Amino acid sequence: MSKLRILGLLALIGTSLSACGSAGNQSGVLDGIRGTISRVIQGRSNVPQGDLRDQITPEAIAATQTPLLFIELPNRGAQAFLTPIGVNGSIVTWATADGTSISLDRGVATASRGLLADLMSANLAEVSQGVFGGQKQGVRIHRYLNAEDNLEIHSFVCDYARQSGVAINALSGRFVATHVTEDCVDSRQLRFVNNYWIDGRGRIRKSEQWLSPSTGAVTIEVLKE
Amino acid sequence: MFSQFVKRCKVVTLAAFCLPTIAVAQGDLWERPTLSFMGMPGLFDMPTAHQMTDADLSLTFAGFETTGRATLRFQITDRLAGSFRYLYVDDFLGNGDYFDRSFDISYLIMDEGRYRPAVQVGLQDFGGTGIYAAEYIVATKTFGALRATGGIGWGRFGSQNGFSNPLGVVSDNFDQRPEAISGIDTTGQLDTSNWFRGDAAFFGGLEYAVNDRLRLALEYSSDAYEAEEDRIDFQVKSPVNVGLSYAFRNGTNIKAGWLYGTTAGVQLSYVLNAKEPRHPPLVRAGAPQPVAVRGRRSAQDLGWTQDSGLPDRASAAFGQAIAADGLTLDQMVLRANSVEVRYRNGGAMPQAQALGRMSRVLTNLMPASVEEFVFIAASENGLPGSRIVIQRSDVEELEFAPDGAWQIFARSRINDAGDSGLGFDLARGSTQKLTWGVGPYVQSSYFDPDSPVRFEGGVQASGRYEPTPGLVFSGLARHRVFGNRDDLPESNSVIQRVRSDNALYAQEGETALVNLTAAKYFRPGKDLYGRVTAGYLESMYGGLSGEVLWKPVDSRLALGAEVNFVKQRAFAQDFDFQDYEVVTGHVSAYYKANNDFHYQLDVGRYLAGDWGGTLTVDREFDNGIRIGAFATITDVPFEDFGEGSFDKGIRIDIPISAITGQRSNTRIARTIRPVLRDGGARVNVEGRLYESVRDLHQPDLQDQWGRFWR
Repeated sequence: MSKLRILGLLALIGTSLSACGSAGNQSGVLDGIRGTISRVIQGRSNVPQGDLRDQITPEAIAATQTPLLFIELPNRGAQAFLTPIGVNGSIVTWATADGTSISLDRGVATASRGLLADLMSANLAEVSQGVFGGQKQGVRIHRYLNAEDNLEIHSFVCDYARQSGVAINALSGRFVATHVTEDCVDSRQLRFVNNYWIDGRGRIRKSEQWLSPSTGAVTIEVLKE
Repeated sequence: MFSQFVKRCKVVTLAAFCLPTIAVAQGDLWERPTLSFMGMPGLFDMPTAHQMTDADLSLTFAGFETTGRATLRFQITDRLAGSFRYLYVDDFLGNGDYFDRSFDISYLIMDEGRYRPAVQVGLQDFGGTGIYAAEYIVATKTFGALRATGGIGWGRFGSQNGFSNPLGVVSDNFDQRPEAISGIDTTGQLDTSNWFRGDAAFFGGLEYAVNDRLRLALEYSSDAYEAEEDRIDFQVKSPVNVGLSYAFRNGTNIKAGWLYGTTAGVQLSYVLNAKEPRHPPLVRAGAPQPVAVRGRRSAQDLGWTQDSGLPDRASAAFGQAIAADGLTLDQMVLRANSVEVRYRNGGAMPQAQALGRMSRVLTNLMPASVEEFVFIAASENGLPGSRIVIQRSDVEELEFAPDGAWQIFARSRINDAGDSGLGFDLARGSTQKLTWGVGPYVQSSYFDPDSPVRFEGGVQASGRYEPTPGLVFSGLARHRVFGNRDDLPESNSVIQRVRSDNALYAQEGETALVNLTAAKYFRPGKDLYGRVTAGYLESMYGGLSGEVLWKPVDSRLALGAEVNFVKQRAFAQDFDFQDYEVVTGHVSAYYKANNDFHYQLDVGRYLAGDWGGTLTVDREFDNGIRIGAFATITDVPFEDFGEGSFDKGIRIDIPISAITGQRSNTRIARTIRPVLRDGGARVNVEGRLYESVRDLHQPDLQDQWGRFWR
């Protein structure tokens, strides 16, 4: 039966191992698989180098020259600092050094890149009314790429509730905020709740926003404008 | 015998009455049927009536006593499925290991409904050597956590407690079944005259889902294993099989059972869905550059045109910026209001995503007056295919638009690049001039008549030189260090041995010049593409190959013609030739249908001088996975062709990136032929036009346009 064992083992092995040469991108199947395995292993044992929050002190923030954002993905235990890399109208794109980015429309997430199941784009026209304008209900539309690389639309109906005069401890300091909750549900009973804490100048200084089923919710805090 | 029939009916109907007669909603409990030891939805050896999910590709390994089976099955549509099976039986013919290859097909006639069962009809091992040949009709009904199956089978499925064929009322022909195992030379033919003939028998079973992972199964098999009883002393002590199966989270399933009262058996299966190869979509790629929006007045500023060094600096910066994404800049022409970029996509990302990324980089690098981005998409051999024009204002406006991908597709213009009169300015442009590589290689082939796996490995050296776009010199040489490919048996072909001397090429070609060619790729005119290749085209043939292809940018149909003047190479795969020479050629039609299916028809003359045609049908998914089958019929009589009767096979092409989510241009590509003989053989020349040109054109671009903004 050893022939069958060989059969089982070699069933999907590719035809070339890695090679050297002038073209930089030569890589065989085994390289691709090796790369996946090492990334998976790294992901699993992704022990953060201490909680990044410990590094955030008022002195450190004051010493920073550029605008700074802090992001945390509780689902995956990931934390990062982001700086702005682009502006288009009211939308600012913030990115980490290793190529993950999130685009915020006046603080509301409208797109992400480099995360699992990126939010490709979003229709936030009614969301702005709900978060900033006091409207009670609105529609939110997300687009994601499915496994066939086609765009899939998810529509949510969201209810908004506001509470002003809430004292909140943010990483950038203590302030009095208007707390807006956004309670969204779609036709498949997928439900999430977003939280926004808006300061006296009408800017979202802290928020918890749900991006996608795989990524889950993201905590975003503005450390420096 | 009638009493047996009644007993069988009782078992099935008892189950039906013991439980609620209205099927409870199944939910996730029965999301997919389990696969049998034959690799089809079923219990142990008997099938059940449900199909797998559309686009499921499954691989099953099963073994018991002296038998081993490997089956590859593809759910072609919701209702239709096909399998390829490789069988191993120890000493079946009395002369050592016995390997057999066969095909199955099954069709779902009726879906399971509230009151009616699912009903399926199938052919097992049709057109093979026929040792597993069987036909069946089977019905399955679900009652909550229990599934009951009952069916009637012919051929091997009519051997246990068989009774005379009920179809005998239609015609007396159905009463007798001709000898199943005919000579080796008639294998491969569709023995349509055998189907549903001879004695029939009932089979059935029960399956109980303990939870969504564990299932228990009980089966009454109508396969009496008569041939195995005669030849290898396999004893069927009881027609009842019993066992269980367990499903893991990643698509793997293991099944174990006590078979025929005589032996234990184990089966392992893996299911991959070609539409959703990874759960959930796990894509990791660096974020693209954000779009740089111009200031209001700056578009009028043309002062930069006085800077004569700017175009070169911009070109160098752009080339560097896109190289990280695997894109190569061939040439950039910068004008006051537009920029023309001629590029090649290395394959690590779809064309649409490449266009999006390049557009973003251009908004950051180009002076504000440059409003129009003109992209010339070229194939890997330098053939310009499409001319895609995108307005910079659209890029700025639609970066975050909710429906931005579709909108920018609607606003961009895609035309043929062949007649735009663009010259390639050698002074300004550059191509990937010389690339070379030295490294190890492993080459494997599967399921040939005598061995499940043949492989070889060693060292290879390759080189490619492209002095001007479209003129390519390339070569590949290999030295084998280990392998078992020279164990192939000698050819017994009665027609010209154009391919079946595999063994001699493998034995004598320890150090082999695999190919060494000079090729020219060019555009004779609008919608036309041309290729001329000369040299040692492949390991067995050398000569001259010419091809022309007509394919408009927005067309789903393409037509081509190819002519080859070739001479057979020496077995040592050095610079010598043998005496045999032949002119081969084909006229081809390619059609990409609106659903996932792709068709190709080639008609012409093959290497052995035979005339005929090949039909290839593929199912292509937008993520790049392709699964298909082909068959060639020529004027070589089936008896002269030999084992297998005519050339046929299946092919699978899976990009690694579709499974792992990591960016990669490597693919797992396999063509599996039950036999490789001399009829219907074509020259394997590299660089055939259709494959390299099609993904530059609109139909393929459109499929993946959702990736533009990625």
